[in-house]
Amino acid sequence: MVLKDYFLQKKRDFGYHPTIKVCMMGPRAVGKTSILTAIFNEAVDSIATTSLKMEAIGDTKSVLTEKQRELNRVFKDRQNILDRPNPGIAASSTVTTFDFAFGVVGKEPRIDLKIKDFPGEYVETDPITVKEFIKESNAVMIAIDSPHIIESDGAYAEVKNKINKVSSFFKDSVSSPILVLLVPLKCEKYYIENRMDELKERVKDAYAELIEFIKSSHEESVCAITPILTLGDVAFDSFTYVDNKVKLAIDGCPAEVKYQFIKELSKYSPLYCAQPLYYLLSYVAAQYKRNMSKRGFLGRLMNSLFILFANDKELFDEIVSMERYRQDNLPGYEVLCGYNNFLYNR
Amino acid sequence: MAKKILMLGGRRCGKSSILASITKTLREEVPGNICVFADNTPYETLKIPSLVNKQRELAAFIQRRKTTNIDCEFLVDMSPNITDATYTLSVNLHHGQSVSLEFTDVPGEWMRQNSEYYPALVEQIKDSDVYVIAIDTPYLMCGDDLVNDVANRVSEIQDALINKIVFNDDERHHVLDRKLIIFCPVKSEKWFKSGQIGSVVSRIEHVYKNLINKFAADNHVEMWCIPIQTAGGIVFSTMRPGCLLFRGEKDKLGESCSIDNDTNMVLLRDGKSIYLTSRPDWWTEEDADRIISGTHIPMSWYKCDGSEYSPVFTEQPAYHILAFIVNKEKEVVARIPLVLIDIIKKILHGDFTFGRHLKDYENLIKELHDARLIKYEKNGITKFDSVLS
Repeated sequence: MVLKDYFLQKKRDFGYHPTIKVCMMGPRAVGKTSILTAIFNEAVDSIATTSLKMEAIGDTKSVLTEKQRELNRVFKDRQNILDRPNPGIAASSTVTTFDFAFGVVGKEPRIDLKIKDFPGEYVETDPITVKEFIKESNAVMIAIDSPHIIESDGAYAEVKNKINKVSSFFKDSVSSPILVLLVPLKCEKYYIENRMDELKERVKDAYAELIEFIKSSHEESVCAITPILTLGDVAFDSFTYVDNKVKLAIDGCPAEVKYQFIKELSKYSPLYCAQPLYYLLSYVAAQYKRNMSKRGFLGRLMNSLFILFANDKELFDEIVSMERYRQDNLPGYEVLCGYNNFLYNR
Repeated sequence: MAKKILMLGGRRCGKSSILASITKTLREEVPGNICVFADNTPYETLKIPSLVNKQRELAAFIQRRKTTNIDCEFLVDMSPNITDATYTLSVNLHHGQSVSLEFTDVPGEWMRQNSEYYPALVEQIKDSDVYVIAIDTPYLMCGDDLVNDVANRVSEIQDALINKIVFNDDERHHVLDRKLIIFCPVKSEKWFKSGQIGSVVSRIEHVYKNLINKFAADNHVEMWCIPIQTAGGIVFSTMRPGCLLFRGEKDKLGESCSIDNDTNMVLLRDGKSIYLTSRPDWWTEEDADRIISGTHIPMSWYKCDGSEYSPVFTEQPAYHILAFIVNKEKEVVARIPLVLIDIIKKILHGDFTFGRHLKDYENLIKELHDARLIKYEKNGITKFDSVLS
């Protein structure tokens, strides 16, 4: 084993893992495990012909495998899909960590990806924990429940997605370059009806304060809207009404949200789900290249990604090559600021 | 030192039955003037079921079925392995040299990533040179994507092989790390007899696309599809949801059965059938044991075709494994100037299987090839060496 690999392996043996960290936020029960299932599986499919590998670690893999099978069963059994989120579940019990690793096929994985999922109301109950993780993170994904943004003229956008709380929370937490992805979910209905631009504009209006903050916070930050279709053939149908009014739960959110299969032979067919991951990898790789050209020797050593990528050109080249999968002209997509931060001199 | 072959596959897909049929065919059908295969597994110390007993169990089962109504459907339920088991087959040349092939059969439950045995499986993967993926063909061809994924542990096996096979970092030494993956559809009598074995290969290409594409263009890994008929005398008929029949209040265990949707008859495992209306104190329930990962796995029902226990092509995986191992060692020896230090290490550790008898085994492979005993095409035997679209 060459000397540099020896020291790298020793670092890993002592628990040091170069890690990309992502903070995921969003309403309770918006389907974040389903999101990660779709992201992971679509990413694995798309890199199948490359020499890159992405592995879910430990419990994460079994959770995602079982989730995918559960989602397939929804279609196979044509189960009724009725969202009935329970506002009574304690937020502290729903923080989940998902662990992944990247590497080159035939070699031990060299870089870890840690995604920590905080429900939206967690910013109130344990803000310090969330702030600390955001400060360490390369990216934040904000899951957005699309039907609540659009339907009933957006009457339930705030109460469901906790927009103001998330936006004001960010102002206290972000001080270094960061990638912020606004990820509208459950948008199949709007995709089918060619209303993704309408959804995008609604998101921009709703999160205007956050977007403005990101634009002005740091020139190397990026903010983008990246909608994904987590299930594919299931679309929002309606809220449940009682006496011509939307039936509400105690938290003010619609108590029941109905979804429907869009065709006779509906099947589990997620779409665009790997895009957030491609945005993340493109951003991180470009950030590394920019930092290498700017910082002094000591500065570079402080950057953990330097240690990784400087010693694994093959892995870096493979991750950079995934940039070709990143798209910004898909329905509903827009890079709101910092577009140039995906670019670097190759 | 024995070469390690890892048998992977879902629960009850027939991994040990494959080995039993392989040893029977190799023992009885390879011309003795070429070589002799023997089962050298130390059963007395390992306390695992012997392969010859598994053969006898399968042969006796087929014989019993032939004595009943040949048109009735029945379940095939050989006793499953509940622990890992390593079987040692030896290849003996006529002048005495022999090499050992170690086949490790891990239980299907080990494939689950949250199984307590998963770390042990990962170690087995790293230590092995050859991986045989046993695929239950009825589930592959007749189960939907979800049932097939669960029954054949497709996601788990693909994930394990893509992520846990590790090669030497130095490209000059890649020849030392070469691996062989054999996709082995079993219980495929129905598709052979109807001339549809090609559709089995196509389905494998579709289901295992990620694994095939990940290694197709990689010089480290050789991949083959080698369909086999494990028993020969029994043919898959249909799939039905599994139930349990309880014969009265005192019956606490129940018996596996299915309901025939057309006739409402209860079909019993041994081929008999009854109407529950004739036994009002009996009843059926869904079999909870058939639910894996939240998915109900239907039961495969079989029929006899009148033949004896007669496995077909079961020697092919062993021939391909032997040819691979011989060629690999031949390539390593040919590169001595580049990999001298590693070769010395391997000699010291006893890693060279054939050593000074390599030439004899090269001749063995040539004889098997000249006698057309090793098949490289037809009957579904396919090499996967290009990326699938």
